[in-house]
Amino acid sequence: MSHDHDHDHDDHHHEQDPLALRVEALEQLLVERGLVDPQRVDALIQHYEEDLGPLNGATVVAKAWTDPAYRARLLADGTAAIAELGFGGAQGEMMVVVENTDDVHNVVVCTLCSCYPWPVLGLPPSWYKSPEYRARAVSEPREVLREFGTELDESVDVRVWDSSAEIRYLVLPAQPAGTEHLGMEELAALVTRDSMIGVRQPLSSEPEKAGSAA
Amino acid sequence: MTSNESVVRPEPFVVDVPPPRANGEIVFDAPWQSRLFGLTAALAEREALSWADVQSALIAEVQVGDHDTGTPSGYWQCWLRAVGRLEVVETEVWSDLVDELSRREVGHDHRH
Repeated sequence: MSHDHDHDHDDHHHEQDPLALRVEALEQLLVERGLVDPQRVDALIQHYEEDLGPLNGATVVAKAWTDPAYRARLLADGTAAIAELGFGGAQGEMMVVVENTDDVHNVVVCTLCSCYPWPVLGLPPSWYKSPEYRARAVSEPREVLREFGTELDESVDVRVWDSSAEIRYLVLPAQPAGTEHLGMEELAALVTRDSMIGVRQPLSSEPEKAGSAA
Repeated sequence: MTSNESVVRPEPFVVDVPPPRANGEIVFDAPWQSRLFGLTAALAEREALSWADVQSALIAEVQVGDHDTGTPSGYWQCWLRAVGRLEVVETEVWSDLVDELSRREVGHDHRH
């Protein structure tokens, strides 16, 4: 049911937040001067939102995989062990690290809002804040995990941790088999944000599948 | 996650006047705020400005005290004004920005 509707582009501008207009105009002029590339701006926003934090968390996990003494400290006092690597929130909340094993799989949620270990995981993904994830991660975690592609044996105990303003949980995923020879940097590259929330496993070092191992 | 794209390695942004957070998370409560942040980061990456310059300008704006920097809106308004103080913006685009804004806000061409 389309009707002609050509009257209001200017009206739309009038209704737009003046601050949004100002930033839009600023961007346009910077682009025209060749000072910024809008795609690069997108990439940078995404980088700050998605990549920067998880790299910190991935470093923590890789360190725990390669250094048993560090792993023990991390599980005993997450806040202090994470601070050893120079990461931590100015807000000073407590970090608790929960370890995935053959028998236990941990998942983190914040049922009240979107409490999240920002210094190590960056900005939370949008789904983490969704009411659906917040409710279903608690009521049907296995189903949620399945939707993320994480199939767990029925014998595995799924534990859901509810983050709060005072306590933030970080999952220490199990180290993928066959990666014991890798160095810290290579291991950190396998650790995804989602694996530290617990909804996915870390990446395998095999490019495709396990069937063709040497 | 593709790490083969040449450079997604901007220097960490550290400012003495940190952005507002809710339960620890940095808060953008409108798209223009993250866009503004992205523009700043893009200019910093090209070395058209430095984070240190942003920091100084931001501190100066906070001291003016026109905005409540405890709220996302107030904080990012301060950031926007701080960006306007930076040399690259001031010399390259400021006068045109004023023109462009008056044109957009008035809704018709308004050349001087």
